[in-house]
Amino acid sequence: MGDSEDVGRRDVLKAGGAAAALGLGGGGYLNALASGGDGASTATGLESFVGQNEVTQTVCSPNCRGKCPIDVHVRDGQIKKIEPHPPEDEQYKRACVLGLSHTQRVYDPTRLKYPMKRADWSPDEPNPTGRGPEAEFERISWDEALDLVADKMQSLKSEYGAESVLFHEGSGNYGQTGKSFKRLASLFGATQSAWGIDTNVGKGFNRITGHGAFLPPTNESEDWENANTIIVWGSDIFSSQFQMDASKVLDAVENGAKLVVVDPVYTTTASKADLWLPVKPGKDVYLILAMMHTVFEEETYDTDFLRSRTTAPALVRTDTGELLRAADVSVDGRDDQVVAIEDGEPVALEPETEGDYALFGEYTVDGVECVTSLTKLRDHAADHAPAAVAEKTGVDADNIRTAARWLATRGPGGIASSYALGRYTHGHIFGQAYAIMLAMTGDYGNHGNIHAHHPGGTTLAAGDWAAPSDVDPGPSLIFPEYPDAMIDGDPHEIRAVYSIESNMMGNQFPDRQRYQNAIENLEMYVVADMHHTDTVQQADIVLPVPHWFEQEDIISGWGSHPHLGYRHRVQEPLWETRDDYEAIRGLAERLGFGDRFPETKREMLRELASRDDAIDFETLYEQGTQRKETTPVVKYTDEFPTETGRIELYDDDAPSEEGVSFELPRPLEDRTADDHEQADEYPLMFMQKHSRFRIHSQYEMVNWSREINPEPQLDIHPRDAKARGIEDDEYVRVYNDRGEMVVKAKYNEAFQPGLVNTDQGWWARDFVEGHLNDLTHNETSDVGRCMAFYDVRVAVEPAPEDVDTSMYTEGNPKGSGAATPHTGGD
Amino acid sequence: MTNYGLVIDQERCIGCQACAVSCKQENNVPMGQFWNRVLTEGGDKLDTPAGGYPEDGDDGTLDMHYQPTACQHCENAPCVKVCPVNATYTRDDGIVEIDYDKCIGCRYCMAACPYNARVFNWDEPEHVPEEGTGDVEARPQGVVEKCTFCSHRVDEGLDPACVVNCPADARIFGDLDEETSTVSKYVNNYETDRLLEDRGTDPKTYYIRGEMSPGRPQTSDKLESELDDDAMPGVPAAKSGGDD
Amino acid sequence: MASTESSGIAVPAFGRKGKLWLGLLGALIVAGLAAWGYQLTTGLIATGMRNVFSWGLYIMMFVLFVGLSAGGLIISSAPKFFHSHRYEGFARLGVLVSLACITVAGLLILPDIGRPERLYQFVTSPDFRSPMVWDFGIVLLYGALNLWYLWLLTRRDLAAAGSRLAFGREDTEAGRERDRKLMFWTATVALPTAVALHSVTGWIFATQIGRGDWFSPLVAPVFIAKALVSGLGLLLVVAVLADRFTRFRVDREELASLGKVLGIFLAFHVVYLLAAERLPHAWANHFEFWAITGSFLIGESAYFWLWTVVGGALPLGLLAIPSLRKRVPVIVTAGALAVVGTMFEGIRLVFTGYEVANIDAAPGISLGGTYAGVGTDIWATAGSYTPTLVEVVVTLGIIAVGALIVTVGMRYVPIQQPDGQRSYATDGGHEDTT
Ligand SMILES: Nc1nc2c(c(=O)[nH]1)N[C@H]1C(S)=C(S)[C@@H](COP(=O)(O)OP(=O)(O)OC[C@H]3O[C@@H](n4cnc5c(=O)[nH]c(N)nc54)[C@H](O)[C@@H]3O)O[C@H]1N2
Ligand SMILES: Nc1nc2c(c(=O)[nH]1)N[C@H]1C(S)=C(S)[C@@H](COP(=O)(O)OP(=O)(O)OC[C@H]3O[C@@H](n4cnc5c(=O)[nH]c(N)nc54)[C@H](O)[C@@H]3O)O[C@H]1N2
Ligand code: SF4
Ligand code: SF4
Ligand code: SF4
Ligand code: SF4
Ligand code: SF4
Ligand SMILES: [Mo]
Repeated sequence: MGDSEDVGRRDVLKAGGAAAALGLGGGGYLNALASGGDGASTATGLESFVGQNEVTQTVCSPNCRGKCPIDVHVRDGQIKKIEPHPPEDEQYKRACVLGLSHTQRVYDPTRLKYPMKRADWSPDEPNPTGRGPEAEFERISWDEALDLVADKMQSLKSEYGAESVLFHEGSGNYGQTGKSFKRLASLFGATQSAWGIDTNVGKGFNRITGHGAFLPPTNESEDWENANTIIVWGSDIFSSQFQMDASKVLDAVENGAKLVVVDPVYTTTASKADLWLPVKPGKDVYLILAMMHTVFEEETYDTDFLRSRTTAPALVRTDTGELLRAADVSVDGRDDQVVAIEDGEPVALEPETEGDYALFGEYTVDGVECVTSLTKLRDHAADHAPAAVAEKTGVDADNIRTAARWLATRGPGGIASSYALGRYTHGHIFGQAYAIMLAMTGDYGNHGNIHAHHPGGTTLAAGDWAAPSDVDPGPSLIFPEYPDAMIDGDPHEIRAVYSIESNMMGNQFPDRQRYQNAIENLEMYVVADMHHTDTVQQADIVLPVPHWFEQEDIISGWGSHPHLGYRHRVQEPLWETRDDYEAIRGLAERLGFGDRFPETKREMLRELASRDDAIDFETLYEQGTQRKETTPVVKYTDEFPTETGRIELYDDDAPSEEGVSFELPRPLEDRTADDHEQADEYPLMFMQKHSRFRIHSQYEMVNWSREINPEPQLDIHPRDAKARGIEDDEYVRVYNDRGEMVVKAKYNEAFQPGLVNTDQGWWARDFVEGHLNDLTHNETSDVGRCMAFYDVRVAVEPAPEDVDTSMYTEGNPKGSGAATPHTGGD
Repeated sequence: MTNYGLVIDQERCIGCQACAVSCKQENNVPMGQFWNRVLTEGGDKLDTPAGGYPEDGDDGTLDMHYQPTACQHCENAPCVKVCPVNATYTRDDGIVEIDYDKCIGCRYCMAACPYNARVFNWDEPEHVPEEGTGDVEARPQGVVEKCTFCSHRVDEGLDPACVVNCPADARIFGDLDEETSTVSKYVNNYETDRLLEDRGTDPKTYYIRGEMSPGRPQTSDKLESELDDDAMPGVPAAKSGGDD
Repeated sequence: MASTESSGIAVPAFGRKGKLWLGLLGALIVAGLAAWGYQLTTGLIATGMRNVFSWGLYIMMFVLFVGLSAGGLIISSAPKFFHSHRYEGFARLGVLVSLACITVAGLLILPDIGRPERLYQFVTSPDFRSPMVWDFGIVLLYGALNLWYLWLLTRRDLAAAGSRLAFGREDTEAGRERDRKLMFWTATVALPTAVALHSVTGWIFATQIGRGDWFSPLVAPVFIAKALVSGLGLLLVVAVLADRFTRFRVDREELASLGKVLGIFLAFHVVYLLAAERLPHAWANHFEFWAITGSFLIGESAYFWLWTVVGGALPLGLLAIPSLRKRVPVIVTAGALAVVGTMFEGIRLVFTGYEVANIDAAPGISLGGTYAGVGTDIWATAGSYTPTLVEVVVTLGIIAVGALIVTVGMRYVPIQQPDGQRSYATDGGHEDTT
């Protein structure tokens, strides 16, 4: 590869800031990269390649709800085009604009090529302040890299304990690597990362139903066409969730389902809705309480369901506010059973049992005054009648009633709730609330029920691979806890990080400046990635990972479809890139756990597959996909995994936050509150929608989508903009007490006045100044423990005159329409 | 006779841009050029609505649709009639195509096309990766190009790339002269519009607005004529036929 | 000396000023060639045109010069057609100017073509439905006709002066007699050809339903009116300049009379045709006076005002005032303004076609400009256009070729009807002894 190697190397090593190293544009690159000079293209470039084409089936797998099986066409050793491949159950054929564009990712100049070490880093003199945009890297060998990492891990272990090394795993890939990563962490005793994103809503839902960690399980999307009412709550499902499964939702609508969208923004999804409820940010709990009130008022609740599968009839003691226990009323009664009134008599509630239980009313049992749970709920909802919340929520009272009516009376349906609601500090309350709402309408366990904006999909069950039963794993840290641990050693010190599949410094984490400060306390920061991301630019040791088309893996269908997919290698790893598994195994060997890891990745995959009875390695390998028949299409058909085996409408041992206790869903707001202390200084709410043009920070470099979506923008209602003297397309400074960014303003009527947005996933190099995560914060609620990216206030003003926007305004020939007409010669 | 046409259900289209980008990939459309553009019928910007945001709890007047727009393959194609050197012509199957070896680059066809469907290679065409991605020959600088209905695929019994790759099943391609074909059924059964109908170009691209169609599930990349009948679930039976 | 004078050569030899002028033209031509060479190697990306605005300066100037080429030929042939000897003194100059203008127009097509090396396709694979094919043919025919006519008008004088340009013709009375007849017949052909040329050029636009105001049956008549106005305007300007700088002499009375004719053309063009074009629409839309006036006047581009006011109302005003219209500077000014106005009318025509896209939804039309990597904005929802230096220089170079043709013509062709020579009025045989 002689010459071309040099070209490649210089490009990456020059790291005078990622931006400089990555450069812009991509022409002329592929020759240098792949073919090493020979096989050069003809002068005119392209020729037809009909009949000379090899097709390999593989899988695309970022953290979207796709996990799409795709066909990759190769000719002359070069990847050409991508097409979706129908999986075993071909109705799940899909692929979005991004997966179809991989060719531009595989050969992009941002690809990492060689292991590297920050030039001014050494195990003994880590020089943490040398990190940052100016950091320079030098190429090292794989052996050198792994030796350095293993030695440093050992020395930290003896000095601070094994838990001072943090194994951090992001969401960049849905293969099996993570399981081996965790295995090594467990064996070594390192601290492991615990997810602190997207968990809010699920926590609330889980408290009531026993189901759900992220979003709760929902029927597989093939069943969605049976829904008669779909309330998409806080999700731009056609952009950020279902761009690959849109047909399923559309089929439901075509079948006559009513589509309701609850969103402060008139999104693509809202544009397809029969009814759009333009709620104000953070006011969703008020809204859903008003919908409950409507159901109570109109008595459209599902009596049978409430009696047989929920604790609606369960009695709540008026004195203590606790549920009356069977043990309280009869000697042989159990303490984990609650009590209802049947034919005037108290009876213990069994799971999944029908009975003529009283749903409403006050009863005195053994001298204890009680009311039913449902009465409690009804009274609580009565405080939030549609007319009463209309102004607060910004939603017309009649529309609230209509939505509730549709859900309660039109047969099966559900609420396709999203993660966005969990990006508000107290978002778990909504999870609690809609779990209850769907209990009132009886929407569990039937065809056509929906509980989340993406189906459950399926994963590979690999037993104790990640946490071998014979070892004592180290502690775990939730993401938002990282800074305190790194800075103050609270709850324990973190001195090194090994990060895979994550762009934590460039996208995954909020409050960028705080994390920047935090990592200054690290003696070693190892980052494995396939691109030179903002996180890689902060690393001490860089491990270059091959593109997915150069990896072999089993891809889970989590949150997606009921298949596992086999990722076949389309081509050999380019340059010196190596699969994460090889690095993990290399480290394991050096740390003395080599025998716990099969020699090759294929063997590892075979081993994992053998642990899952529902699949067969050979079939999966041959077919490319295998539908996991054990994945139920309809969820919630069994007893609920709660103490009572029922949905617990009234949660008597509920946690509380800021003096508000959550036995019932009681609204609590943080920065969205109208009277929030920063409301005057930072009057606008700021969110960072998930864009159809990226999956988080992946695909940022894809030239085709950048043609359509060239730069970060601030969506702002024209009225808000004009009030600040901001013209359309003008660059603006967005700031708060944590930081700032400069982006182009985009007048957008779709946005609620008072709410602004910049789509997430842009790299630092794309901003004129700053980064969107300079504005977000790292504070979480006690219950949710979840990063609240959207609960953010900002102020916006025209960008200062001296801001240099030339990266978008100059050298950007637009033709005759260009601001500065170029007179020939360029 | 075969007469190819395309139906796009705008009620289904979610503006995902997959058709726009797969077209570029399939046809080596140069950077900076689009044969197929997904337009937002709404505000002044991509993905923005027209109208006003609801105030004080009213319903507002916001409205937005997506309109994927490529060559409409007009029956009465002005571009064909103006081309001085017969470089643009209509194939026997109704596809309007350009002979890139003949085109002199006068751009009269661009002036003639009411849809701005054509692009001209002002510069040396650039591709990323440089060698291109698609299955067709690249066009040199100085000639005009446009959507070909993927004639190279159609000739091989495959649906156009944009049709196969639409995740919303919003695009249906086929033979308009074949009464029982899916396209014909859609044209007959659903309310369809054609763009700038008043110009008399008689386009063969139909847009469904109003009532959503079931969509044609793209579980294969085969043209309908290449499929066996039962491989075509979801195709609506002709309602009463011919009410269009 | 004497012989050249009587032979009607306006520029017997190039003096210092003449050489300077030739040098200037030469320099412009060389610069134009260089710019064209640059454009050939870089491609049309060197122009300001893009997908959204795909015809620019070259076509705008093509339209102008096709129009300009009309004036001379019509002025010199129309009287002959009607057996009149009016404006005889302008006849040869007129045809010379026509020839130069049609050459410029033809040449302007070359740099506008993306693959000029394939122009032969016009011959090997023409599509006769295309107005461009008709135009291509008629421009060639028209050019040839001008050349022939100029030669016809002057060949006896050339022969008399012993010029090789007589190509063996001799100056005989019988020959002159025959030429007079030929001239009548040529005029009979020339007039409709001129009308056809302008109509066909108009139809290039007028047949197009796709573009703004182009699709209008009035475009062809307007093109003819434009041709009359601008062609005559240019002829008057050139005549006066020639009178000033060469031995060519204009007849003041004829000049003044032609000025009046220009006024009539202008009135017809600017007032009548504009009204004819707009009134029906305005009338149909609103009936109140102000509404009509409003839709007439408001919401127009600068180009509209340039051509209607600067190129229309102003010269018309000048020519309408009896005390002014006989003065040479006034006539020249009016003529020049008429040319400039017509130019802007052509520019406006092209703009109305591209300025507004029929389908103007966002993000719009991909421009097809240079791609500069991620972050390049490639879209426009409306057309805008500024010619680049390359286009301007190429265009000037081509116009310089036209000027060179006129200049060289003055040097080698007896452009001045020799004094006392019998009129070439095609009187069908009657002799006129004036
Ligand atoms: N194309 C693409 N798809 C993705 C991703 C991606 O990056 N790109 N990321 C994936 C991942 S990991 C995740 S977690 C999901 C995220 O998926 P979502 O959570 O659905 O996506 P968001 O874009 O964050 O938000 C969805 C909607 O919530 C609305 N919203 C904001 N605030 C409120 C509020 O207070 N109330 C209500 N009712 N609505 C509100 C926003 O206007 C937005 O339209 O998407 C996944 N899918
Ligand atoms: N402000 C703001 N920030 C947000 C959000 C928000 O809404 N607003 N959303 C948050 C959400 S919901 C999420 S889920 C996170 C996601 O944040 P991340 O998990 O950081 O997601 P990605 O940006 O996809 O980054 C994953 C990285 O993994 C790399 N990668 C891919 N495959 C492999 C592999 O096989 N091996 C290795 N070693 N690396 C690989 C990719 O190149 C990429 O750089 O972002 C969060 N960040
Ligand atoms: S990015 Fe996601 S939705 Fe798109 S093709 Fe890849 S896996 Fe499928
Ligand atoms: S859309 Fe335009 S390019 Fe296509 S056939 Fe019609 S006129 Fe021709
Ligand atoms: S640019 Fe090419 S295809 Fe278009 S009219 Fe001219 S010769 Fe024909
Ligand atoms: S039919 Fe083919 S050429 Fe036409 S828009 Fe679709 S992909 Fe592009
Ligand atoms: S691929 Fe389908 S859904 Fe996506 S923009 Fe094109 S037509 Fe619309
Ligand atoms: Mo996420």
